[in-house]
Amino acid sequence: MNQSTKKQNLLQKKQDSIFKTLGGQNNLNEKLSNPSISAISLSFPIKNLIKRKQKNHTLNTPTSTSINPNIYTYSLTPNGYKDWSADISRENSDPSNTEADTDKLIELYWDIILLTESQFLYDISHLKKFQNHLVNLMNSKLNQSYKKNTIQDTNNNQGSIWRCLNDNYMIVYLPLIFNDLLWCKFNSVYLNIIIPDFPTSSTINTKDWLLSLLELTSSLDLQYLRLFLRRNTNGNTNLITTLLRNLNWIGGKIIPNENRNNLSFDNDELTMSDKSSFNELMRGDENFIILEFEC
Amino acid sequence: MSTVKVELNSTLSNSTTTLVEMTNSSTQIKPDSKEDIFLNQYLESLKKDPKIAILPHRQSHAQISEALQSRIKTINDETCEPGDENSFFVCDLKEIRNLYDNWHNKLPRIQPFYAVKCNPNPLILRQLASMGVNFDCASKLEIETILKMGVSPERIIYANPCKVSSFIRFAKEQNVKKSTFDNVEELYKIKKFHPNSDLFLRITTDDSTAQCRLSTKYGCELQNVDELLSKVKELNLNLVGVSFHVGSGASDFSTLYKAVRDARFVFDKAIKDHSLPALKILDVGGGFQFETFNESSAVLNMAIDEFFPENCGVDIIAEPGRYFVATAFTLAAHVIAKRSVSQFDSNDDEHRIMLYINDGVYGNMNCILFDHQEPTPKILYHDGNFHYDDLQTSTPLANNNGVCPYKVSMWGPTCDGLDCITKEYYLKYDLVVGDWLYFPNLGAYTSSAATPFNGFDQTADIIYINQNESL
Repeated sequence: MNQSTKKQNLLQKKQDSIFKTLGGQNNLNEKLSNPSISAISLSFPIKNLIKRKQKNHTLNTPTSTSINPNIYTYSLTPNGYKDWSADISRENSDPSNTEADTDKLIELYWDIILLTESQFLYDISHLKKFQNHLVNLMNSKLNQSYKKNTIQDTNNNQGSIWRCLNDNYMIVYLPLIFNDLLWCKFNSVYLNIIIPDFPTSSTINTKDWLLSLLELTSSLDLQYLRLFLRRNTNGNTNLITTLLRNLNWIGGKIIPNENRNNLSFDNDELTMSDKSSFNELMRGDENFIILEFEC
Repeated sequence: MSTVKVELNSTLSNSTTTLVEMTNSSTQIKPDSKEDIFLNQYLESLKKDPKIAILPHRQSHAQISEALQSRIKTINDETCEPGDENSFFVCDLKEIRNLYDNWHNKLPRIQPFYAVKCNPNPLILRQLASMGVNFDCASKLEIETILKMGVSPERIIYANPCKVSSFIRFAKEQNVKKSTFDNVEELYKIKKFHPNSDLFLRITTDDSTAQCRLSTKYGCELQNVDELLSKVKELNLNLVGVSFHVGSGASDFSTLYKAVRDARFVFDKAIKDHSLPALKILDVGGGFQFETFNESSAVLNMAIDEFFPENCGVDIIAEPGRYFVATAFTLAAHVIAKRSVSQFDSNDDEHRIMLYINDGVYGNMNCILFDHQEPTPKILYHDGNFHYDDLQTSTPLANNNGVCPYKVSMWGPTCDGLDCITKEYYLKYDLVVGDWLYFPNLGAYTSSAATPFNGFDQTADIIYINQNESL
């Protein structure tokens, strides 16, 4: 087994573990098997990781606030149309009862962050190095934010917004359309979603799943939805063609891939060598078609 | 041939041009119905009519040529500013006036709602507004743009088929009432967020001959219309009309006739089967093109005269986009790189030239991706000479009697594999870096997606000509 396959398997294991954790979360298994629910999202602010730190600082006294994820479901509402609703059944549930629960959640969050950010890696065999780099980067961002007691919107590099660590991460599961999870992150303006490969045999109802993601963006009070669709995969070729053919019609536009020659970094979080090794060299968006929709 | 299934109704069963047969509760028009035979004969007669082939008017080639040459001479004289060598458009405003006059002449009963998404150039929008053209908007930004011009919201139809709740709320805030729908969920959203909307039920059409097919994804099948009509009634919504879109670049205009016929079917059904108030507006959609306008307008006139005769109390509107702007724009771009490659195929060694120009699908030619357009490259400047007046500087045909011996593929400036303008074209001259090409009739779905956003200024300069004659 070569290095890349091992790393690929590691990512797959992490994804399976996320599925498993999701299943164990407050009857999510039951929700996932409910045919009236078309989609589920689980999101969390990276502040939740800070709270974990806070807990350590205060000699392991339990935190008073929940670090549970925000869970929304997309289903038919009494109003007659599908919409995203907060899972209010969780509101009264005891947040992170035990140290073990909290640890599990924190691990889940880190896995989601890693899996989201690693989608832009050119070579998966560098996963371990990237993981270390990502942890450093996130720690730096968290420390900065923790000191200020607020997380600043660091989404300044408009041309390559996918490169920035965001303040919120999310996974979306659309079981009727995709076998895999949709990896997402957002700040205050853009919801970035990496669309997984379509099963080649599936019949695509583009309008349904696109509308669900547009509504999700809108319910998060964000202005734009950016979709990252992998090029050169059998299933996605049809999907991309369908979307492009209808793009003007449905109010979307294509975002050019970044020009890597013109990349400029004004982020103080990293040393120059780190930046060039990961941000510039190890990751890129060339493997994606990027589409943007106003919400 | 049509295989559209419709329910048996008096309009169709009484029609002298349609044969129907019962299949359970639905009715299928026979593939070789009298209607189809009649339509085919009519279309054949149109194609044979020499008047149909005559273009409505001649474009201002002398002025376009002069504008192109004047700009390029400035650049070649090295007196230009940085960025002047970028690609640029020449826009003939008089052409828009000519196109509007032609529309008014050929389709006097139909009020156009220009599809803003096709080209949201502010000058064009203002000119169209001043001529009395209304607007078809697909996004919040488009609605805002039109309203900021002082256009009344009554002159806007909001026709995005993928409506998010926030869009509907926005339309209500802006008092934009006209909107299309094609499913029950949309009706519920409209009921909640904008219950006073003037609604158009969008029906599917046979768009199989269109280059850009819309009905494939959008619109309600005729056999499902009952469900929507009864829901309109139940929710006490205001249905004002029926809309359809035969797709862009259609070659078989019998679809227009059939769509108008199907719309009539829905108009009658709304009253007879659902006791809804009489519908007042028919929206015949878009897909009109300069080259085929005579043919499409003739078919459309025949259809509306048969199914919606004058004084029947129904207003007719349309959503043309490319018709009003495609021929008004000419794009000029220059060769920035050239690569020769040898390619071996099964028969012989082939020498091939790749030309890279300073515009492409991510700039002003995204119509290639979105709209199935195939821009026509023509040589504008080579070896110190301008060639606008030479009509034979390029051809897509390999067999061109040696007039255009240089086989090229043409690419945009990015390294993206999608950024291909043409995989194979034949040129009269062996172009080199610094030479110029022009692409006529490139005003539709080109600069619209290349408007500035997120710090990327993708717009090209536009040189306007015939500004005074456009009013």
